[in-house]
Amino acid sequence: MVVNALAVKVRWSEADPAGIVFYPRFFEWFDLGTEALFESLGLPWRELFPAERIVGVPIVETGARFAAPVRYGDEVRIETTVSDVREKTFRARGIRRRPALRHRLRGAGLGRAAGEPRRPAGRPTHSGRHRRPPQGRALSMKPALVFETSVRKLGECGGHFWAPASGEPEELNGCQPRDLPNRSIIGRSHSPKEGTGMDKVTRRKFLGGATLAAAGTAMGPWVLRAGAQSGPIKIGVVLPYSGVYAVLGESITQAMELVFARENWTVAGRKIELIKEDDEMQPPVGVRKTEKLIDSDKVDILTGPVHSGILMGMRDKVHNSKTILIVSNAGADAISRERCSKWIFRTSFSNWQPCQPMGGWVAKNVAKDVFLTAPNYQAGKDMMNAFKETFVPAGGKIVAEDYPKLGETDYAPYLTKIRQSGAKAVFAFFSGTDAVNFVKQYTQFGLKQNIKLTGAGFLTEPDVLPAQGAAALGVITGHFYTPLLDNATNHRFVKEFRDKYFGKMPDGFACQGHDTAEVILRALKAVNGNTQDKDKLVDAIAKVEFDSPRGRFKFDPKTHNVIQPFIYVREVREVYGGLNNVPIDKVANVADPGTGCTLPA
Amino acid sequence: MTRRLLGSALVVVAVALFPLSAGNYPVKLLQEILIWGLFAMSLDLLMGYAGMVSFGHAAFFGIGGYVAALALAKSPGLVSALVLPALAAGLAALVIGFFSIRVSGVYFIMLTLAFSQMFYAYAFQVSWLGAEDGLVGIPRPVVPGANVSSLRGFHGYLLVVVTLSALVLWRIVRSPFGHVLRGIHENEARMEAVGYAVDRYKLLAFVIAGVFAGLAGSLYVQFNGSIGPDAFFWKTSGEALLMVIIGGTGTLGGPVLGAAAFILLQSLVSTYTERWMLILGGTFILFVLFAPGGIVGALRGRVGLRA
Amino acid sequence: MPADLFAQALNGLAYGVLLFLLSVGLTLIFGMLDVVNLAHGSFYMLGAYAGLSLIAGTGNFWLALLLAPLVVGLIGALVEVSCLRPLYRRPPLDQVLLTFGFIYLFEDLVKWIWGGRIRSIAPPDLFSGSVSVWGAIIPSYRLFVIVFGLVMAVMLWLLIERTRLGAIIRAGVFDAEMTGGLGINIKLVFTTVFAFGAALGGLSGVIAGPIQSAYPSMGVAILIPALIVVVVGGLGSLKGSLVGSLVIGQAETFGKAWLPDSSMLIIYVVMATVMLLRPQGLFGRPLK
Repeated sequence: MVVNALAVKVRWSEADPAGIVFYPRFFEWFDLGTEALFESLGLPWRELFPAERIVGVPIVETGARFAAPVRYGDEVRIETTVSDVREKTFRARGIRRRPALRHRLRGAGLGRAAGEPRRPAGRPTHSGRHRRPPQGRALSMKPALVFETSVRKLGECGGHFWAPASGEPEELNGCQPRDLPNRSIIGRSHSPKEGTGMDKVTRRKFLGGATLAAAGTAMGPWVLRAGAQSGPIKIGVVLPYSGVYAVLGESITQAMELVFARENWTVAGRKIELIKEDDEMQPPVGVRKTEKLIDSDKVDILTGPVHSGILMGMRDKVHNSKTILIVSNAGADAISRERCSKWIFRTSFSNWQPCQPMGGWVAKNVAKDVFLTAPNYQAGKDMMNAFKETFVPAGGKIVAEDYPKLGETDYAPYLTKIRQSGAKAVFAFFSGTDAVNFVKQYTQFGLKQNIKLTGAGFLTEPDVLPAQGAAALGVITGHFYTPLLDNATNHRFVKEFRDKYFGKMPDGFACQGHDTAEVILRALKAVNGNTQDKDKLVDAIAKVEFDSPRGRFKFDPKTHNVIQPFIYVREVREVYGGLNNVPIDKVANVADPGTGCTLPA
Repeated sequence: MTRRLLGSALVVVAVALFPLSAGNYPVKLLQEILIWGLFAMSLDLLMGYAGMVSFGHAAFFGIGGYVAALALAKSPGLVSALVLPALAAGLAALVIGFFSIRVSGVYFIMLTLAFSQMFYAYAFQVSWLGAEDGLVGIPRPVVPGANVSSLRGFHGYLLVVVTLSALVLWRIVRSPFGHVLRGIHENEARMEAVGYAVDRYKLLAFVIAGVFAGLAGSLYVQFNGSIGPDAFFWKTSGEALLMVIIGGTGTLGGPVLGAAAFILLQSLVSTYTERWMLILGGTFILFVLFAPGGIVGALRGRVGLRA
Repeated sequence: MPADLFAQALNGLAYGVLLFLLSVGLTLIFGMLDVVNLAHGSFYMLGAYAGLSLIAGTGNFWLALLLAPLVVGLIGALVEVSCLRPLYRRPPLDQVLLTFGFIYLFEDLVKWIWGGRIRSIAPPDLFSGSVSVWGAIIPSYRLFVIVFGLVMAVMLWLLIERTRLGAIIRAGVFDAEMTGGLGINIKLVFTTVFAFGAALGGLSGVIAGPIQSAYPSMGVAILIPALIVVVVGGLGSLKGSLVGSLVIGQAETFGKAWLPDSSMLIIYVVMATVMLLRPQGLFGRPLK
């Protein structure tokens, strides 16, 4: 790389009244440098031009970027090199850039230069481009100017840092030379367009390693799974294990494991294997995991999910592949109605069940002017419709209905509407985060004193109760379970659950898990562990009956949905040193109407 | 160039034969990769070639998906499966593009984001689109000569559609039109000065990208049997961007690789650890910092995204 | 009827002020660094969780209100120095994408440390009841939020318009390169502004905690309204941020009250309309 450097002192005449170099001067310096470069190569213009019959070197483009002011009295180092050469033009630029292009110049130049009209200077850009037809030689460099001052040194050296003409760093005006590369050039550390400075090698290595790691991970599970053959009974579990609803997934799973552990994880001489997959509460992921469990893992029985959307998404797959599914949470009414299937059972609840009895109860015991509210999705609407079924015939009046969006965080506008509606009570369904925010804000707005808050059980289940705190006191909800139920099975269940899980109280979800596991165990026992004959297994499941913590458990043969032995009306009170849903009333034998379900289907 | 063609052909053959050797689950993963790969490819046309960064590309994916869902439920044929969704998405792209092209840079990002969120909000709340639950139970189309409802049948059908789409995109990118797009990406002012109707080219690119995104959305519905408002959500657009970046912009194969990386990460890593989101985010950040050319860029030893 | 309207207007004001605290950081960051910080919602979330832990640790809401933003500001500074700085010379898309990656990172980090459950944050005892303002009943905490937010707005205005640091920031927002050319350590200013924006985001998270509780996806949820505010108000404008957030706050509140089925749609329509008629926002600088 050919470079030439020239030192120049700023003169009085070159500065403006503020003492700063008048900017057109730089362009003269550019040209000065160019000329000096040619001279340093032994090609001074005064000899070269006549010898080669060159008229001149027209400039087609020039420009400059001013990084910091130069003042009278400063010494400036003009460094010039060539950055870019093309057939007819070449570009001279600052040191930092490596020459962009190099061409062998063929003789085309001379004659042209002689006769070519001068090109005017174009609009300013970042380079000076000179049209120059040298002859035959690989390169004649045309200089341009680099001039940059380090902004970093501001304050230390009055705004400049520069190297003396000799090339040896020395102290000047009180400035310390920085540790620069051997050229001791001033300026920014690297040119803007070069990227972050990671070289290609590092990049390749990084990606190579990443690819290997990914490939390794990709192979892993398939190799592992290939080993699992017949022998153990495989129960697939599709539940959320991450995110806000993970607490539900955990509750259900913990209870299932409790029940299986009672039987030492064995039934009819075969081991039970639980294969858990996280559905992340997202239908695409849930469906994908379902397919994995059915196709890859070849589970004998599938359980889950929490999210009704996932349930609806997996319904056809389950039905068409004749896989037995025991729904351990999702309450979509449709699964017990028009989309029911002989292969699908539900041990949890249908959205209809906790709400329908509450209608009549609220009308009789709370108020007849009620405001309904639930999130704006199918489950919410279903629950409110179920409530209306017994509320209206009991003389109740729906003052108004509001359906905020799912995942709403600020219920203020709705709460204000509730206050203004004149309702005496509210029946609400919210779950998870929504339930926490709604109940807390309901209390913060001072509504609880005058307008009784009632709802479906999920409004105050133990997954949200701790976060709600005192705000939940006095809220009345309907659900098929509360850990305070007074029956022998429940006492045993609560005790064993707390012993095993460090004092954690079981909730409705845990009860669902418990019952799911019980159903599986009893049915398998009834068929002696024969998972090959699926029809027989289905029959066995349908016939299962036992004592559950919630009461006597039985499937409805019409819908394969559980018949709730009771729907309990519960009130949140502070008992046993904490907040609990205390049963204050109950409605017996609540079975989903199952409209539109024709089994076997 | 011939090497690349050969390589691509080999890949297509390998993908075609995959179901013969692997179980259902890996095949399904591969099919998802193909679908998202098409989606990401369409985004790459916009981003990598035309230089227009859209955070609302999911709008067309969602439109294609919902139109396909509604159409297939009524009449499961190829027209419903492929033609209608693509047309609908293209039309939407025309309208949205017409308004969005007026601005550029960050404002373009925000406006496209706003439009796709509008669709999200609408689909989330109205019941005729299934509200939060979306539409489920969509049947697969009836394709003459193939049983698309079976795994293998669908595999072949999907591969044909995606490969043909990729070929079309490839031709577009190589054509004079594609070169103009690249010119616009490099220096819009110069292209305008030279006399190209830049806005029209951008709009056309936007529409083409929208059409193929809609196709991908429709294939997604055929694959899954269901679709929800999440298809419109900005995170979906963001994930497509992720795939394009990880794979490599300005190449058509890159986004498919990126889709593979993303889906494998999501499916496989989540089997082992709950922290897959951390890994995904971290990987993406590392790519943006150190390998902006993506996997393809690094393999080719390129220095990075075109400035 | 007027009392009803006033009650909803108060609701809208409280929400709007919350949005303002969040979006002012976002708009400053964009104005100064040309970075659309998609991870801004994450700072909001981190603020809420930091507040949660600080309250749990010290039992003092006010202490948490003071310290949590500092913590988040520190995190913001770290992010800027380590990951954003190398990207300034690259096209703005790269920075946007980087912040997008951080969304995933932060969300999972929070889940890891605090678990996925929703966590409640109690308002300070001083403000735990409800008060009546001209016939409208509003939780006293929300009233506090309104007052606090407006005070913050005034203080920020003073900072930006009347102090030297503010002048530097304004200069940087106007033309970062020139400001650097005047000899100001622009890199330090960038970091400071980013950290400051992050701290403001964290502050709004702590403030919002007692209203919304803390959960890992809260950042993603609030990001869209914040972006809309910034776009409507004008990227880089403090005044725009205030006006925009108040407008959006009222639009969303009355939308929920009067048109619940289209409530989500309304703010997007507002945003798109503004972008089409006046792409730079109400108070933004004209597009280059």
